[in-house]
Amino acid sequence: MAQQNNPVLPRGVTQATFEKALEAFRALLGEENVLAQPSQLTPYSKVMMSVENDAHAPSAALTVSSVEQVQGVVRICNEHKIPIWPISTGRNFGYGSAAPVQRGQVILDLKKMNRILKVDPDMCYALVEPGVTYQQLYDYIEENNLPLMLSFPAPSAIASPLGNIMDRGVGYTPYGEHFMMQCGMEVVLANGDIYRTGMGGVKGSNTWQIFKWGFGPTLDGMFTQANYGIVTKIGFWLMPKPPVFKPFEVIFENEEDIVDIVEMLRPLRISGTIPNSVVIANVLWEAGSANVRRQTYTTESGHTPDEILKKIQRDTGMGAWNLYAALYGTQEQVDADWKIVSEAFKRLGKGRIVTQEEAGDKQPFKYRAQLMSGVPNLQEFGLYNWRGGGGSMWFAPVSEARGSECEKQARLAKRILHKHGLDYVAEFIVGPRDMHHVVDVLFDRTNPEETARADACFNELLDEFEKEGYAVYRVNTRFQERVARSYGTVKRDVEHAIKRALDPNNILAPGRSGIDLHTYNKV
Amino acid sequence: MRWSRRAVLKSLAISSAGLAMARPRGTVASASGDGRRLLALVNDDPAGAAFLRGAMAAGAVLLQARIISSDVQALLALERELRQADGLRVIGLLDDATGTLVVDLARGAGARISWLAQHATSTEGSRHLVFDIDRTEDRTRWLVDHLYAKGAGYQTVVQRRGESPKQWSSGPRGAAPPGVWPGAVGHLLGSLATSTRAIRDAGSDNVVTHDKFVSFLIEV
Repeated sequence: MAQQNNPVLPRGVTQATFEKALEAFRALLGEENVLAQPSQLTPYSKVMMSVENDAHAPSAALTVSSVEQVQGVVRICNEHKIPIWPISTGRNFGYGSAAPVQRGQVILDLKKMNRILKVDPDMCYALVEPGVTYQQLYDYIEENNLPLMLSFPAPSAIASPLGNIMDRGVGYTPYGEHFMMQCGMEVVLANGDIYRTGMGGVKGSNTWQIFKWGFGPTLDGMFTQANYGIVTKIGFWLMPKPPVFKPFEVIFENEEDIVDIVEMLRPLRISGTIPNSVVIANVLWEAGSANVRRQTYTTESGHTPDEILKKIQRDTGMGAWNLYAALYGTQEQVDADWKIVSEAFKRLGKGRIVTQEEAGDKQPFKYRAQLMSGVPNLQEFGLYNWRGGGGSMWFAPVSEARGSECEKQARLAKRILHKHGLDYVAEFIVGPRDMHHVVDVLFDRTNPEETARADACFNELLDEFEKEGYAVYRVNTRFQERVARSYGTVKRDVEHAIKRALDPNNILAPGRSGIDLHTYNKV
Repeated sequence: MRWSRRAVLKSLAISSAGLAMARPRGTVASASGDGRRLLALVNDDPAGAAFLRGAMAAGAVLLQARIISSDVQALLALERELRQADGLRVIGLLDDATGTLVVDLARGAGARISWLAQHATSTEGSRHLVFDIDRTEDRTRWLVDHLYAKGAGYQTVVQRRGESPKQWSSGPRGAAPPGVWPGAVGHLLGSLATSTRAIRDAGSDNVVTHDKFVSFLIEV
């Protein structure tokens, strides 16, 4: 069925050319896999950012079921100069949802490519397609009683391992640095070639998911947060399920405690005594995740005053900072590590330790323990009810795992957010040496004035953090061009040189991470 | 007082009985006007009950009501239902967390979304961000007219693909009741889902809520 006068077209593409491309897509994929009606595109258009949905509206969406169809789509896009925005499941929420970075791009939805190709319980790895979700993989492991454990981000149940790895997302287990655990990917390049990284190019190789590096340049990282290819398969390592899992929480009463927490924690993380990606959540992240709502405490606009935060602490028993970690291993290992860890906290002289036995089924302990033991849930979405209104933008600067640095970032972020009448809702995800400082900039999209404030706030966060030498590791689609500028022109020149070599027609997600042949030289 | 599941269902049962009696003779009691099953999703709260009453007042008398939260198993079951359904319409008014998830799962299931809006209540009245999808401007116009007629203040922004947003605002309405909108939205979606042309008076169901919500019409 021809689509007449589509109000949203790809950049530089005429209505007539777009119609021809749609006809070609229909011939390749079938009518039912070419979505161009407004009611079909609305589910792809809903954003949580500080702009209208229309600013990121797709012109169409395609669903494909095979690598061959992906190759066919790429061929048509080259022929008609149609830019496409590939998504696996598109559940990036505060980092940009499913909507494309630029208005008018055609979404290539890979959700129907959802086969679990292999799970090896001996070598402890999985090989999956883009549409596989963590819940699907979890169910497979449970149904087959495999001694393996997953690591995933908070939207675990519905998110895609491939999508999360490609965005360099993190989880909460010892395998929480997800790209570090990636091993082997299959990529459809812009010219239609299929490239397998690592050992994947060797005919008959059985080490594609075993050995990352292969021979010569290792290019896996180049495809993450990038637009050089469409990843159609990904391998990643899975952690053997430990016989004993001991989650615990440590509750700290005061904001200033962050300095001591991090200083005490760093050696335990670097030594591997605490093996997992520890979380330190502030009171509002904690409260939101436990479905506490702002309107219970105040209906005033602006940021939530500190007195109310203290009242929430008193009412709920939550801390200003709430640390979640876990120990894994045999009983002997866990006992030995617990002695070291619990004594370290005692020596600190502050913080109240809560074990699983003490917490029971109480939230947010329960969902945190599930995340740290690879059990999917959606509890953290409660954050969206804290302020409500559908606005969420994750601001995620990287910090040294040094107490003074974390305190400096926390104070800076809080000051800027409060200036714009918004709340500091944050967690630190603790690597051995780095911290992902994730701030959920929550705002009410029904309120145009508040939406404008959120936009100004996010810009100011980026600007002020950059002045201090900080930058984010990931950002939603509205701010990718802005963030790319923080990383310098040489890096951008290299990225665009690669883009010109691999995708001269600029058809793959132009604008992703600021990489766009059409605009870069004009910036 | 915590609004209990029983209270929502009791409210629904009472309203249903009352509406069934009041329904004009000869009206076809179809699920969604074209025989498709009609499901309503609400939270366990007064706004949900008002929404259901509004939907039924629009003629959606045989709708199935389901109370839902962001529980993972319930949501995944809903996604399976959407994926496997052959003719299903789902209307709903849900908190932001659950609404965000339901809309996203609808995309995963390949469903269409014919109505999508966000709602908030403020001291000045209610705010509505409506994503106009299938030229439903007349319905949105009815909503704001209804709110105005009931003495409620409102601020409504309508966003549509390829067009500049439109804004309708009543201005301050004094101490007007802010809580008539959940019932009115239920009425609007009930009429859309059942393809009822004429929208009747949605009543004055007044709910005190400061929560924020997502409303939707999903079609499979």
